[in-house]
Amino acid sequence: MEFGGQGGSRRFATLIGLMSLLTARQITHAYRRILGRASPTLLDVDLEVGPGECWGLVGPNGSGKSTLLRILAGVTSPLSGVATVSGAPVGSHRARAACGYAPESIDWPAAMRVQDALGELAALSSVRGVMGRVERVTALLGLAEILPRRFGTLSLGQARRVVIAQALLDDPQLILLDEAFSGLDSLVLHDLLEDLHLRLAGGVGIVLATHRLEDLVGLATHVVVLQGGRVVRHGLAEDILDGLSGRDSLAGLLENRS
Amino acid sequence: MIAASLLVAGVTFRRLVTLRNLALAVTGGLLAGLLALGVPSVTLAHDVLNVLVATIAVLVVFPLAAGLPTSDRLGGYEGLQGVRPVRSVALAFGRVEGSLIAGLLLLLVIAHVAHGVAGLRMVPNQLAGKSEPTTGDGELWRFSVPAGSHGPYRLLVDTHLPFVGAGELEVTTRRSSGEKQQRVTILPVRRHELVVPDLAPNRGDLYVTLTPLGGVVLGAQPPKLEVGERPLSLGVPAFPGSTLARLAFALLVVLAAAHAFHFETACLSGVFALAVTPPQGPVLWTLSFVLLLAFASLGTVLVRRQALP
Repeated sequence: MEFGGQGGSRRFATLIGLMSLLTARQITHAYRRILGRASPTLLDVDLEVGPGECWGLVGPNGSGKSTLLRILAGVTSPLSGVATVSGAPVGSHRARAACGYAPESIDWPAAMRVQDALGELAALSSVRGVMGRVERVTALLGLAEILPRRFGTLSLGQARRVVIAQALLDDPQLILLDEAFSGLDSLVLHDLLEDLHLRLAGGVGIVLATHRLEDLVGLATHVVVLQGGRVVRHGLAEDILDGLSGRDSLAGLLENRS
Repeated sequence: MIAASLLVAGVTFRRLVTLRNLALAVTGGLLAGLLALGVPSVTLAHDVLNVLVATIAVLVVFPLAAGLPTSDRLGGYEGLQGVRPVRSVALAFGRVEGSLIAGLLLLLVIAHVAHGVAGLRMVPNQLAGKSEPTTGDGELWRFSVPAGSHGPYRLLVDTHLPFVGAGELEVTTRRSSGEKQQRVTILPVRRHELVVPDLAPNRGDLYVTLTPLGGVVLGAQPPKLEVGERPLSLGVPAFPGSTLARLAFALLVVLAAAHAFHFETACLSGVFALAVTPPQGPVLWTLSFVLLLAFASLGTVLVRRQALP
């Protein structure tokens, strides 16, 4: 079946969106250049995340994991391809409402208080139950002590916890996590993983970009391996991660990609 | 949408009106006030104070207002706001509204502190004459001299001499039943300082008749009578309405520009806006506000779509 033009793309997006939480088809991205050819950061990437699935995006630095997550969150536009969240094109009001996104790094405004940031971000989604939602993620990520503090006084790990907290604020149907677990202490990580498992059991979908395979063990149901912007392997996590451990695991994945 | 934008406005206001920023505004006001204390000419002190307050306000408030949205964009916080299901116009309105109110508050803090400090300086208390009808050739001016003020008084008169040489001015001072007439020579200078008697024990308003002789022309400004001294800030608004309107308009321009452009561009556009006559009347003000808000919203939309560099 062929879909021509923008209207066709939208119909296509609606149709495939009915079947899954997240669908990405033929996503290609390249950074704009005024002169010369832009080298693609992503090339024809397909991804489909259903309810209760956790997809791990793995690959070395510069493989396009973060760019793909940014496209799925609606922060960056792809050069071509279609992506939908719960049937709505990414970047649309509905897709934004269904999505929680934790980028890899944020320079929080140094003079801003943590509680102000979480309160504001929660209210931008919905003004109903702002305090309740903030309290819930505060308890989950152990933020109670740092709530009144300014970001300028937080450690990197504490600021990282706030990044994850804001992604979970609105109980999204789809959670996009970029290198979410680096910098977290083991206690917080344990609680967070437990919460993510509960969310998965409740039908939430997760896309987790990481270059550490151990982050995926026990959590990911599927794995996509990216290299140079292309998908080099994909499949069930147990098939791909089986037998891979240690510091050479990622290299092993890339070597055995055939 | 309204509730979300009000909440954004509240958070923005709180982020701008911090203890540190208030301390910065107070320091700026202190600096302007102290500099005004050092102006050698007492007649210029008030004008200089207004210029200093406006300059310090621009240096303190514009960067703070422009810095908030631009640093949020660079740091990525705006990206976290942008992935939320909120309309760009609500986001822009909340941020512009909160920043504008906070910016105006900081402007007023600077102005009041400056006036408080500069108020320590005593300047001549000048009373502008009120024109009275007269049957003679000259001009009759009335001065409401305060009860406790004793003369003789200095009278400042603007004159014009349309030829080379000298003319004469007849000055008749009357107070209650007392009267004194004097003639002074007028040279080709713009302002003359004359001394008029107290006419004690007569009290009440002082009436001065100025009759130019020999081709002397009186200036358009009413004469002024100096009756003692007063603190610089007494009886003068901390911020003249026209200056406040000009700065508020420029601040709005800074905020609108900061939603689309870089920090430096936003600050510079505010400086350019200071050179423009601010909108006159509520209709033009509303129209300007709506247009600049639309510009800020457009900037927010483009930033959210990564359409701006």
